Amino acid sequence: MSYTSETADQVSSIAGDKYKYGFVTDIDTELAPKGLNEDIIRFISAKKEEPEWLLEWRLRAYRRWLQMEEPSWAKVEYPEIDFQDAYYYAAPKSKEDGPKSLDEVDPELLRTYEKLGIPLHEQQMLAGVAVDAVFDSVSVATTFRKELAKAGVIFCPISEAVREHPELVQKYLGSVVPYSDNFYATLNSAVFTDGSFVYIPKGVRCPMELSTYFRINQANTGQFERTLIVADEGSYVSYLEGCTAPQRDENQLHAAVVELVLLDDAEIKYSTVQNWYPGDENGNGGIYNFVTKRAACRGRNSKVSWTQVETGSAVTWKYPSCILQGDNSIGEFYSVAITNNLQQADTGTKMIHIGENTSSTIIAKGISAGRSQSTYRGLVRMQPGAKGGRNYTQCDSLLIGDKCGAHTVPYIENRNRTAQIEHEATTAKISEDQLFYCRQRGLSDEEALSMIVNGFCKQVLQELPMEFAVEAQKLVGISLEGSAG
Amino acid sequence: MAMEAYQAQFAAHLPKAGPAWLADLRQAAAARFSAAGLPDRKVEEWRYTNLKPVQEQLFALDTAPVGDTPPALLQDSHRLVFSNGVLQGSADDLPDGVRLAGMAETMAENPGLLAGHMGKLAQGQELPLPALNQALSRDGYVLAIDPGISVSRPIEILFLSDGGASYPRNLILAGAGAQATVVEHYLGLGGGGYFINAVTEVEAAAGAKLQRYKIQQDASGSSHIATLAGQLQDGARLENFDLNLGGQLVRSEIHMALQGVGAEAALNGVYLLRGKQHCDNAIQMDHAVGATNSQQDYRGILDDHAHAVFQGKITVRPDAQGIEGHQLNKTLLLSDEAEIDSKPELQILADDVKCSHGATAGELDETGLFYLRSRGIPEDEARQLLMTAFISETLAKIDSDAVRGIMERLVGEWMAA
Repeated sequence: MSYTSETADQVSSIAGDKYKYGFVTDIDTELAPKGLNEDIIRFISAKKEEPEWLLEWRLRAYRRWLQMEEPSWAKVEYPEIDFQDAYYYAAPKSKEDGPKSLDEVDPELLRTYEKLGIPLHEQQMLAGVAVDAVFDSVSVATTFRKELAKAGVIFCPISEAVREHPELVQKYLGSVVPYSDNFYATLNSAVFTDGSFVYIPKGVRCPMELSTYFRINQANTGQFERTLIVADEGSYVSYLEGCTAPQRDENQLHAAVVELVLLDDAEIKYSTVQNWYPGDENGNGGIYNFVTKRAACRGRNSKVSWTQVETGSAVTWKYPSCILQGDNSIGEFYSVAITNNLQQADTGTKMIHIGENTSSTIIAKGISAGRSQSTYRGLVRMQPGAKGGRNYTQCDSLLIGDKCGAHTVPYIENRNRTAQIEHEATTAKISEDQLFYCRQRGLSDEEALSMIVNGFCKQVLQELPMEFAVEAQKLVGISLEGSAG
Repeated sequence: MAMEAYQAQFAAHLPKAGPAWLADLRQAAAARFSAAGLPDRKVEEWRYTNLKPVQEQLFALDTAPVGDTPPALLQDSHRLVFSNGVLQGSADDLPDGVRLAGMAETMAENPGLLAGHMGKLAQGQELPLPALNQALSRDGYVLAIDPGISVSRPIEILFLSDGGASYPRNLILAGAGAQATVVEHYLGLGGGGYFINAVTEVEAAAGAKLQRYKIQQDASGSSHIATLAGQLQDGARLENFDLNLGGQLVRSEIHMALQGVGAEAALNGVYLLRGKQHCDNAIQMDHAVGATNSQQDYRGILDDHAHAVFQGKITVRPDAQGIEGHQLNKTLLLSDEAEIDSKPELQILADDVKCSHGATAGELDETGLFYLRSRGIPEDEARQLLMTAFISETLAKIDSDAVRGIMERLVGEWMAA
């Protein structure tokens, strides 16, 4: 049988059991009533003991959201979402006000994170990674806080930051992604429940990698987390984000907002391994991942680097962007998006060059298998003031099987003579020659496929921090399981 | 004024005779345009081009003929001349099996030739401007070539304009294995202020080979909108080249369908703009079946406040295997106020494909300039050399030596101006 027809057969036989994070944790959960209205927002705000200004901000966002329409320009299709048919607040019930230390965290929760490969007990931790674990709507544990505090780094749930560091939150929240930004970001502004807050003070190189682990557990909930990272002058931080959800037949919405602020000479490295439940082989269930991520390089010589490995979610709508305002600032976007079965991914980036001598690099690799659709959508804009701006973009698509699609939609806008933009893109299938070469040397079809795809993605995967890179490589193999003949 | 009123105004000048289906076609197209209106920038395909300035020009009917006809570009060609959209005279010495005539004349005398072809390709809700053309077109050219006939002399069509709104409607029907070279030359006299909305439909049967070259030198204040809609059957080949030099607001739209195995399209173009010129090349390449090839190479140079747009889309349909499709867009910016917006797009739904696109935008290569100057070539001359070399790479793809020579001359004149 030829490689292609075998592929098609194999792809059609993939079962959802390849998703090893599909379990549900049985845990007592406190839910707000289903639906969305101003009272729910007041409820969330009260639960979080928020100041008046934040409640007002949420309500402004909600009122704006009511007048907005869901965007339809992306190349994704999904049934209309009933925003009233979901819980906007779900929190593990804690016996008291909340865990003061890990010992007080519900052991069931700790076991969940262990199953996910994220042991929260510090002694079991991989050295040097601090974790904030977000379970449905709330952050349940943040590790290594004392060590971080010594360096002056603030790393805590955003709900706590609102209480403990209101001046920082008020100054920066919504300053990169305003509450009126887009349909999903506006919804998030109204109902966000938790997320991480990071502040790296002047001149501090964060002593360890920071990581947030997001888990959707409760059925019928949406997860709306909000992450805010502020890197003050001359600081550096590497931040990792991972996500999983149980296997369910219904779709669940995840609409997050991530804001990064960089002042002079600051650097943020933001890495994501997104492995939300992708749905089964017939496209039932899975997460709708509608995320707004944006970095503002406000300071001179600041640098932001987005690295993402997107293997999960039924539908992905995500464009981590860089606003290169400070002179000499640098934006980077490294992305691998793998879709299989009936997954749809519409992802890419925006590089807005405002300051002089700003530069950006985009490396996007899309792999489509099964009957999936993968789209790269990106914008590179040189504003009139972006003297000496530079951009290099490369987006390559790999097709596995003849029922999938790969699309590339770049927007290139140059309004400065001295700015240079280069864009390259290719689309091709895995060549029979490469497969034959690997098989001839004794590799199985699956190993050969995984090796070729990993090679195709290498430029991106090598940007990930070491611990993540290993996981991501495995994930590439798992996501494509059954795609090889 | 409502569409009906404009139609009534134009009706007096539309060809009188003609079968009922033609009247129906016009009526349906008028209804489509009335419903859709002019596309605004919220429509994705029009996000970089604002049609507001032409709104006032759409229905400015001008029936006065233009003055003296300039000499032909090509020697020894079959030539038709249109004056503000209306045919003057006729072509002579046509070989057997070739019909080259005015659209108005064909509508009146030989409408059977048009039935089933006119409006077949440039259709659809998303094409309001071709619909407007269909509703209001008075004239244009029809070229029908019988199977196996090769037209040895080039065909030159001159559209001479100096006022009003004109809606040239052109149709090329190439029978199996037929061959021809067509040059559409749009030339403006005076300062402009006029509006052209042209449509050319091309149907190439199996094995036909067509070369269509368009040279657009409309007046500096004019608006020029042109749509080329083509369909190529098995083994047919179309070479299309768009040279855009004139006009204030220019949009050149191509919808090309590779409908038969082995069909091939090469769509190339050059745009040289200065002042406040705006030129938008929008190309949709549809690989409808397997084993088809396409290439696109568009390059331009922008000076002053010029604004160029390139939107090229390659679509490969499901199961259309064995495709090659390549796309390239390169633009040089000479001034701080010029702008290029480029959107090279791939939509691939089959896996056995080799598709690529590339785009660059920026100023002249400093090292190249330095190299030439260090060898004693003055800066201005060095710049011109580099610009000429940049454009020549695309011009070199023109198959016809005679046409390439003309384009090289025109490009040289632009550089020297």
